[in-house]
Amino acid sequence: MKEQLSALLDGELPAQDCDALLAAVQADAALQDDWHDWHLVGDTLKNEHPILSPDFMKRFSERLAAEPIVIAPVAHRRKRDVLRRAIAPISVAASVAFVSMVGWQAYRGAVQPPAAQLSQQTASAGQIDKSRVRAYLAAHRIDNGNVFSNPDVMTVAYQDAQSR
Amino acid sequence: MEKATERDIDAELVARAQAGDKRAFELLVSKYQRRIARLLTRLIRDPHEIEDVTQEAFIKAYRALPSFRGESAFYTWLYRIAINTAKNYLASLGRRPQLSADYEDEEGETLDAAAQIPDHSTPESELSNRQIVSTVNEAVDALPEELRTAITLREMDGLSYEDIAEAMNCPIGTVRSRIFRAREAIAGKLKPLLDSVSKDRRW
Repeated sequence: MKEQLSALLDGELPAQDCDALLAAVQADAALQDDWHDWHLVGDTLKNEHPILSPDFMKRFSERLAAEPIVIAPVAHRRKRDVLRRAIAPISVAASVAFVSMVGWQAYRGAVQPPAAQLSQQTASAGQIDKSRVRAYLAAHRIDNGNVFSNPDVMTVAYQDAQSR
Repeated sequence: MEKATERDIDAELVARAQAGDKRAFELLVSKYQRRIARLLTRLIRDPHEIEDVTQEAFIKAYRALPSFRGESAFYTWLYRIAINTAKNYLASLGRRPQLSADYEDEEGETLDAAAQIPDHSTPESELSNRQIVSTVNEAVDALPEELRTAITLREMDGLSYEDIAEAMNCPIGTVRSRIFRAREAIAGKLKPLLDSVSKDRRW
């Protein structure tokens, strides 16, 4: 375990062992002292003469103990990123499907002048589509992984809908 | 096999701290306290003030943890908080940061800490710190040669285990074991000193 901790400090521990080791460190005061002392030794060997009092950490811990515990919203935590990364391709696929559908509707509207009743229906549908498309695309512009976040794509889709 | 990088490890400790684990945050403080204090020597001269502002910066970082989302490395984020804390501190006293020119060479690097210490340590902590430095150096000198070479290549030259293995013509597993044994030996010599300074526990 100690040798693993030493490798961890050097960035040489396999990533899959990292979680278990850090959990062990948190549960074991002796490993925490090793973490503390080995970092001190490392910094000292790098010619970094210590500036702080040697008991800085002890006094900091006393102060930290008086602090209310912070808990970040789960959405901010790292695990969440994994979920986001997993969802990104699906959201791209959904965007492709949606824009294709809008494009196809616009195309059909342009080449097949519909009957009066149908025309009115399409026009009102187009009205809804326009605002929905704008809102949808606006919402998706914050997603950097989305190829349809480009404003040009939005303009084309918008003009297309208007040209009917 | 993919290795856990320094950034991965920091991110994991941050995630644990964000989930309410103060000890995870203390591990980060323990790791970065000297780098932050050193950074602050560019802005503040008085050793007591450096100590106070360093502590304050870490407390501010702890309170701001919910806003850290990992876009930058933890140290980069911490660095900004420390600089801001120091500037706010100086502003509250009506002072301006004044020292940077004295402590940076032409490349903007800070000068060797050895040149700075008399200004930046309190007499009592300076005595302990000098003892720490001399104890570490003596412990390294006393190491068997293969341990000394391994820990030196790692800590002072920053080589990877793979490079050290090549330089020392031995397997990577041997490098790992030598560096670990070197750390154990050096820290072993240091322990009595640290125990006497911190009385019972380190933290």
